[in-house]
Amino acid sequence: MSAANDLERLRGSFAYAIDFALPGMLHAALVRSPHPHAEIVAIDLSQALSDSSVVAVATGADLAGLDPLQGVVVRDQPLLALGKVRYAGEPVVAVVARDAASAARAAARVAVRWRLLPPVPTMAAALAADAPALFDREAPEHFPKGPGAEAWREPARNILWRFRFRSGNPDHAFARAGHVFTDTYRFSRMSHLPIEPLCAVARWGGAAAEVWCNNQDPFLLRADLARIFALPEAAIRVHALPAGGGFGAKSYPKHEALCLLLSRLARAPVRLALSWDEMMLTLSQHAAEVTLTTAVSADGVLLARRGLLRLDGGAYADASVVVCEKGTYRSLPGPYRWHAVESLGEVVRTTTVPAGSFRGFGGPQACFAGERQIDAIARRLGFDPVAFRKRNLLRPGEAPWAGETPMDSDLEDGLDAVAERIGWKAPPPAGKGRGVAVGMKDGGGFSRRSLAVVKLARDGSALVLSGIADLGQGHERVAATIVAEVLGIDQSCVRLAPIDTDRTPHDQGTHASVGAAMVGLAIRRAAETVRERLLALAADVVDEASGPVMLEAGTIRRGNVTLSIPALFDRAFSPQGSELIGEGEARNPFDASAPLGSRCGFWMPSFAAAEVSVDPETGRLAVERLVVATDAGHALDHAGCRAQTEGGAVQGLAQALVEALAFDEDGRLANGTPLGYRMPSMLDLPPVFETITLEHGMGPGPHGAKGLGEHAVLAVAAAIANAAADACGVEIDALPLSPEAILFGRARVDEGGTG
Amino acid sequence: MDGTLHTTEASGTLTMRSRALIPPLRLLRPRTTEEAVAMLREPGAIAMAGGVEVIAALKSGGPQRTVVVLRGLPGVDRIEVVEDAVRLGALATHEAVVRDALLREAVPGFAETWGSVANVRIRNQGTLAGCLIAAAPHYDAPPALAALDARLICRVGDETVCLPWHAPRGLVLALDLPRGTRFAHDRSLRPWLLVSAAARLDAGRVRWLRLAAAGPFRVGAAEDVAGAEGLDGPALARHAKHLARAWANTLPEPDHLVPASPGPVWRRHAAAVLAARLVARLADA
Amino acid sequence: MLEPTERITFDLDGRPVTTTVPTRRLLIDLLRDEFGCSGVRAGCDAGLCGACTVLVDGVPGTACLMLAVEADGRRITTIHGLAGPDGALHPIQHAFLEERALQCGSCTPGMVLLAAALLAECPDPDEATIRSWMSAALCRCGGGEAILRAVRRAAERMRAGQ
Repeated sequence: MSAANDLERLRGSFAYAIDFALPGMLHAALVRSPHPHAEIVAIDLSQALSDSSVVAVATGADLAGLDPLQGVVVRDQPLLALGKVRYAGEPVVAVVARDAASAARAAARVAVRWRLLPPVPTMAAALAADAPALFDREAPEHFPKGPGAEAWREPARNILWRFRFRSGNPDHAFARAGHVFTDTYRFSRMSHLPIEPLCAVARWGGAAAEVWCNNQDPFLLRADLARIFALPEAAIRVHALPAGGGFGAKSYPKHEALCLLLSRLARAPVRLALSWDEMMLTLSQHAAEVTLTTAVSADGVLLARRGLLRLDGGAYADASVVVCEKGTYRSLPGPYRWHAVESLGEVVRTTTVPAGSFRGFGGPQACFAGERQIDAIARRLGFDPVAFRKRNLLRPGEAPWAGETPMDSDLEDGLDAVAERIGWKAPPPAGKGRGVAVGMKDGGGFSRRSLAVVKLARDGSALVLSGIADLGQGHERVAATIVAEVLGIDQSCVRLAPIDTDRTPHDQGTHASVGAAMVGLAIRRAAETVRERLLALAADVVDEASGPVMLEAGTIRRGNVTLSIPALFDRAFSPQGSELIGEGEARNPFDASAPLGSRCGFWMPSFAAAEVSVDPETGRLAVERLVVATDAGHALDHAGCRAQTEGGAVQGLAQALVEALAFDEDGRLANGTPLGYRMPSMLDLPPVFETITLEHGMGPGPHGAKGLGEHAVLAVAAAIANAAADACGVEIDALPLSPEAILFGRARVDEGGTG
Repeated sequence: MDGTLHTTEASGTLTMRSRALIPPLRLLRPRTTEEAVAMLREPGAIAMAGGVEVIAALKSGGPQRTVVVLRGLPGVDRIEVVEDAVRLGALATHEAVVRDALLREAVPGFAETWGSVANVRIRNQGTLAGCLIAAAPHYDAPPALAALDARLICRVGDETVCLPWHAPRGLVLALDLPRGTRFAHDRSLRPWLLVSAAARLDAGRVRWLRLAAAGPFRVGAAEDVAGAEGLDGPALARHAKHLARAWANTLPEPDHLVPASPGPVWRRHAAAVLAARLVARLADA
Repeated sequence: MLEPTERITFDLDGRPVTTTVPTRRLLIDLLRDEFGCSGVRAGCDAGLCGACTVLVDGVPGTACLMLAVEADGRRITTIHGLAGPDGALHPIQHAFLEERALQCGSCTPGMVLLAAALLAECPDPDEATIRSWMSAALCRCGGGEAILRAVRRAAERMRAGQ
């Protein structure tokens, strides 16, 4: 497979955003609040401005004349603090200087005076009767959505968003339940920390603007910049440079607008590059409290679930609204068949680092709780956890409720695959425990539309223009495979062009694992359009033979006439050459009968089984074996699927055992340095770590392909927690797993009986 | 919002760490330890061995510094036997310590443990003396050296003095580990707890046993574990749990935050468990 | 305030270089900014992530924790010095490609250099040694499992003389 970018990555010559520079480029550094909640009394720039290498300084006052707030659905985050700060680490002042060192030093000399406000460090504090409000209260707004779904903005103090979905009649189901179980689970909060931080270079051009950045939403960014600066979108050009990892940290507009403002103030291009420490202060995953009340029949059939997914959104919305809705709607019920479901999601504001898009989008939180409770219920009723699940899993073709995409994976097969590999049927060795989990999320986004263009050159090589960001997921390989197959050319002749909003057709952003499925489909259709045009051209030009025109292995054939593509071009366009262009579209259309406005593109289940050993004297847990399976539908790139699965699985393992942001009693980030924030290394990988790429073939992409990218992270933490509970007989209800909880936790109540 | 009678004002911004904030450095390169000591008398002058700790600290910014570069000082990287100690020169890297055959023989258990500390990059650059002086909360050096009751050979003014491991003064020239000491270390419960154990046996009987732990609290000097003196190997093994539990009850309260950190009950319990295992391991050796 | 500087000479990827640097400059910035070694990547700026790994006299070192002047008289190897003079990939680089041991590529130069130093010192490392050495760099995209496969494969190949 073509691996042009990989060769450059191996050689160390691959260019990332930090390697991009413009002549005369200046450098920006940010000044941040040390206080979690405070009003800005005065900003003293005199020391900073006394440095002759400082070119410009911006504060909230410089946002006048702009539409200065960012956020998804709810826009509440100013480019720089306006009058007050709502988390420790919030940017307050930006300094632009001739070099990065001068900017950093000048920033360190900015002085700010504050009037402290009471912090709101936790969800409990935010929801208390006398809690200080982070924002002035606006009237709540209600948004009806599709059948069974509705949402509210600011329904109560410090609650940013509430979403509710109901299907069926929960009261009826609960009334006839044989058992009702209520459990609450607590989920931790990680920082994405890709190796490469966010970095943007912006150049203000008067009536136009150009930005180079590693943001993976270039078209969203373009639209946002247009709004913020009151420019036409067509006057803004965004280059999305290949990124060194993302996991959600580089999604949705971030500092690019601020960078552009600085360029305007400084009258020169400006680079704003963050450090790891700053990344930890920019965005995090959502911590969550999940309460599930589940009704089960006397003989072990799931009847109904009422779930509450309460997310700690931090100080500003970012993408919290979308995370809340997705996590609540699609992940909270899990992969099971219910007679009735009532799911409630809430985003709570706290004076902490903003939470937003993080791989899994609310799925990991919901899956941890859901799969822990399913396991707990199985044990309490005396059922085998795998058999109990299989009894209740959705079958292929079965929709979870009306108006939603039917299940397009064989969930039983996936669960069996990992259970078998972990040796579920045999009892675990002494001192060890085993656990399984099935994670559930949707893929393909809402109302999604992806466009692609393929350009075929005279020599039979092709360029693919698509907005799918390059995060190393191997999209250039996938694109090459698809186009090569359709046009009968060699994969090494196909290149994925850099993303430039002036040239690349629109894409709604690299999310929801859309890569292979939706975008792949658009690319395929674009290639097919080129193929049609090639055949039509040949039909027009090859008039010495008659009959249908065929394209095989890069050769045109009509009757007994064969022509290579170059020869065809020469005949049609003269030796000066030309190109053939084809466009393609993949859509996930609006559907009024779908609760969230459109059905999901496809389902993304994942399956995990873990075997852990627990030190009975200290509670220390070690993962001995981990098996993770994902359904790729059809694997266009097996090695790529495996790589994505392994990476997601390690993030799940990190959530369970290693990584967690810690905030002090005022909500300040307490472990916001690389050494303070523990991350998994190779020493944390399980000694036996297997991945299985299933191909159930029911996805919407080429040959039944689906996207991959967010699967594996969903089920792993739950599987490890289930294994821990199995090993030590204790109710595990929080992440990260702590040896104290394992050693001293509440003992599980098992009912004996048939399993 | 309810009115407040008292408003608190404050000033300041968040201190950010960055290599862009490293101040101008005046580098001095002494050719002898005497020169080094003289150079260090300058106000604000700091000594740099491997540089791991010093450079990390400089990223917090500050005024221009004078850095006395110790690399190249003759003889300060040696590992040798001096009377009843193994003397680790202050410039001996962690990796040199790990590979030293003499140390392996003289303080069994220490070099083997040290190979899993940090990573190969840091071990090839950093020194024990350097990380001892930095004494970050999660480091292995403080409890290890506390258990061993390591001594520091320091040059203070014109004198060479021998100081306890936790009280360096002047220029640290070497670290002395007691010869013939058995050492064991358990870092499996990082970052919440690290436990070290060291014992000296003469004619098969315990002369002293010391235990030390690192956690979210400062590591202080370790006392000899009461009741261990005079025990032979098998007796030590039998008493391991009891000795460990008594010691674990003396652990101090946490003084900083570690995320999801288990509470003091677990910590004392787990410390006792790890310590008992280490003592049993020392008894068997 | 006068910025103290020093003149240094060292071997960079097989060629001798001489330059004058401010004493406070770190090796990572010297290599990247003056010598164009963009493969020496800045990650955590704390010595943890390994993206800035270089070999110093053949031994893994941390460019963001070294003063540039520390390079004086030493042999510095970056990822750019690993491929052959004709650009041929090192067997370790081949193995990474075959095992698809890279995604975003940020950690790749550091990982490859660590593996090169490991296999130079220990051509037949056991599993524990491989994991211990390679834990000196973090892979946030893949977690590292594929990298372990690549190192094992490279070790096999190199022992077989390929």
